[in-house]
Amino acid sequence: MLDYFAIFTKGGALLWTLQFTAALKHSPIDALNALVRGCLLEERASDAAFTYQPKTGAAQSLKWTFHNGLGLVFVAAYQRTLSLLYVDELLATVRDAFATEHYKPGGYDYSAFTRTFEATLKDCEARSDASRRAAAAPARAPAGAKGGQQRGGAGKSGGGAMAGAAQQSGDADDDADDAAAKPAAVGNGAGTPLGSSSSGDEDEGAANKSGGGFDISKLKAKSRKALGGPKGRSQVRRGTREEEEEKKRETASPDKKKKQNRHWNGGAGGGSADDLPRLDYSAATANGGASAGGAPPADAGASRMEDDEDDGAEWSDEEEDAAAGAGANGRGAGAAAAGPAKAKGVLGSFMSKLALRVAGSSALSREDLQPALEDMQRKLMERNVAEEIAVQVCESVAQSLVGQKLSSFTGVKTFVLRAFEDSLSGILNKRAVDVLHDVQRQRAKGRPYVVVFCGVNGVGKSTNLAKIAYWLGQHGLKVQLAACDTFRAGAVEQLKTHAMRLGVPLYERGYEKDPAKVAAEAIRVAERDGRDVVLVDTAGRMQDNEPLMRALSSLIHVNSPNLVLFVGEALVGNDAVDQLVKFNRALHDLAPSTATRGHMIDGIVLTKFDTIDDKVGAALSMVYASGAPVMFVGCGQTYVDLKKLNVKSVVRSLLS
Amino acid sequence: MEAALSAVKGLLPEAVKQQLQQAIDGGLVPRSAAQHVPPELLTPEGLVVALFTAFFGFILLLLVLGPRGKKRGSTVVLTGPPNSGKTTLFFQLKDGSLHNGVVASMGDNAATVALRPARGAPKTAQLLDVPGHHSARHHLEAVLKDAAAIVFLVDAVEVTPHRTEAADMLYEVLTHSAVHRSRTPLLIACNKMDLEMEAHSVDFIRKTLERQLDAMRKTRAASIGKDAGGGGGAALGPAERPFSFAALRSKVALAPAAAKTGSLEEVVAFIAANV
Repeated sequence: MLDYFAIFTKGGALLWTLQFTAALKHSPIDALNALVRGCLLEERASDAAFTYQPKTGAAQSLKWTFHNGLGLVFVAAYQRTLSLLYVDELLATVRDAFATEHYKPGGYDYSAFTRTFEATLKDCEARSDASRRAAAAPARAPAGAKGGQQRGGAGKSGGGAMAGAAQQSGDADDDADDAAAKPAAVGNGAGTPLGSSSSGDEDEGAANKSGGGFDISKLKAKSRKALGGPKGRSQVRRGTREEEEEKKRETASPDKKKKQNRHWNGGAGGGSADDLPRLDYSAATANGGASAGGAPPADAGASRMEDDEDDGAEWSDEEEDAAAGAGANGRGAGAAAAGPAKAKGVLGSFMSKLALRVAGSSALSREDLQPALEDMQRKLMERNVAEEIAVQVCESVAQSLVGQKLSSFTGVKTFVLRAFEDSLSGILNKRAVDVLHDVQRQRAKGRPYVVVFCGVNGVGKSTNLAKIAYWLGQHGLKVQLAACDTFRAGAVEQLKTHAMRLGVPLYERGYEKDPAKVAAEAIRVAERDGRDVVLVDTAGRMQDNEPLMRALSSLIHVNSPNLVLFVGEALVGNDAVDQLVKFNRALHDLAPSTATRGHMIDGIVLTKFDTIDDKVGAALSMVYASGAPVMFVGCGQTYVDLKKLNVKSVVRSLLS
Repeated sequence: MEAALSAVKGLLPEAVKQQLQQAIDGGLVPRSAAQHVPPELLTPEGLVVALFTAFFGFILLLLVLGPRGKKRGSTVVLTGPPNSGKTTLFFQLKDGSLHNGVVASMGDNAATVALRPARGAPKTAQLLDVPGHHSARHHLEAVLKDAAAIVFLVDAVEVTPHRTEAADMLYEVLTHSAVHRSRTPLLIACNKMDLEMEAHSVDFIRKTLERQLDAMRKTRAASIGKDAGGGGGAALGPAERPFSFAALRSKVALAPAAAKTGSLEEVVAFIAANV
């Protein structure tokens, strides 16, 4: 059951809301604000859903869709424990109905819309109920027939996912219909192994299990297989309700953690075939469509398919309108563009493109954007942005562009480029921590300001720690170093050399000691000596090394530093995401007590920035993956080679 | 140079045309270039026409690009940290009503608004409400270039917990090169004054912000990579004295406001005085 539904403009004015439950413990506005600030403005619109955790009460899931032409946002919220299959469909239907029939520019009274909405909601609920019942029926069938029928159910959920794809991306249907050979081929390539393996699993499951139940280990295996990316995720999430419930009963671990797992493992450990078409909704659509075709026709499945066709028809209608309009504007294209959109020849498409460029009046479709977006994605990846980050950013930008109108004399490319400029500087512009200011405040309290440096091996933790010590010393602060790398041979000696050259005291207890204890003692000594800042050096560790990650987590939670800096090298590519996410997760999950949980990475030190020329993508990957700002940039061998990140020049290098 | 000369000559009658023709034949125009040019352009008339086209094209381009380098723009920018009431103020000024309430903005709101200040004639002003979220920072920088006046909103209830955030943003606005150069007037509107019990006084807010900006000014000046930053931020008041708004080059005033209830006399007066 939905909690509430809201329509608001991108400017932030609520147009229409409907609340279904009076028992909410928080204001819906808070959840909407959190959604906008925590997700949509952070260019994470490509995520499938946003989870809002109110101070009291149960977590909520929020789903959204945009109407970019009118600048509207549609949001539906429901309890996270429910898995509502119809939300995506509802959002799209409501969006189209609202935009075409009800929206008046400058109007704020949409009370008449409530009736339309309720009818739509009832319709969607009924359809989802029917499909659920249809999916539930085979589960009760005898075991012999189970494999095939379950496959039917899976097919149907694939169909559901297809509807979702259509709604989320606006015109994935168009892609599927119009894009000819390539997406179909991709769809087969990606779909067939997945489909066959999962059905095989289910057959096995049916054989293994005697009763009418469901083999959970197989299900898990299947869902792990389906991890590919957004598409895979949503497909899994959309698994029939029984599956969901079974899973929940079986695994007590929270949903959120699981989602994160899928999310990030997609790039590193995920499938090879799945990686490529991750963004390609048409592939998934083809996949879903194919399996639905093989499934026994259930009424619900059929009705959904019908719905999709309607959707597609609407889109192509619009396209025709656009083409016709363009023809009228761009004299001479009339003859070519007046015909049906499908029959447009080479000349026609050229002329309509030209007209689009000159007149700039028609709304952009996904197809118009696709070449420019692919271009951008390639460019970002060439600049060393981690692949999944590039994909997510492109998807997010695409979602904010579909349906917008070009201003005249602007090409699609320029338009997309500008959108990327905005979005990339939006990602990189974080509220920076003013270290000097915070140190002053801490000094007023009479306690040292503690900074912990962490990161993988050989990225330059000690070197940049020394640079930062030098910089702090330049501003009249009394710095003390703490050698908590009690692991690598020579680490203490290295730091000793730096301390000597910088003329700052070093606290060390040699090797083979618990780093957490060494740090605690160092802080105590610093407090006694009236030091302003303690810089704690830690051993480099790979993000997958659990014992070491546990040690780091305990160091941080025992000493509760003021600042945790992650040191990462600018040379890193796809691994940047994995490192940051796993470090952050270790800090969160491996904390000894829950009370101090939540001290994550506060900032990033980007090292070896002088070695990468224009391949500055690591900066974007790291900031996007962690949400923390790049606070220092190491760019040379001497103590003075420490800089701030220049967002403008990074964006320029990324897009040039 | 020669092209310009020939353009002038093209205005002269037959004899000159013949000279031009000779110049073309005689190799003044390189052969290699001539091969790429349609033959009809290589007649004197063609050359003149081409040059005229280029000239008018250039003029047209200038017109399209519009006049640049105006001293101060015409829009009144509403800015401030998140949740300070920018959008509420915007709709209150625009429509005199909040409609159904507001949520966090993702994009700008812009409108031309009719103002009726308590004193003086009614005026119209272009308002631009910019999101306060940090991802819109670069956008804010861009719009401040064309600002006729800036209304900086501060949440009077939550000053103390959010003072760093507010001061941080105010610092950026005040040190923005265009704001500094053209002395754009700025009003710090202490919003949410309708919550009388919880709201702090204007004076308290002034002191809080001044103290915060003073500390920030020192640390920012010492911040790393000033030269590499490229932000071109200006200095904030004379460094030898403690920071105060009065000592700034641009006119900064503080005023109470209550966007929710619509008691915005001073904000309206400020905007009307500066458009």
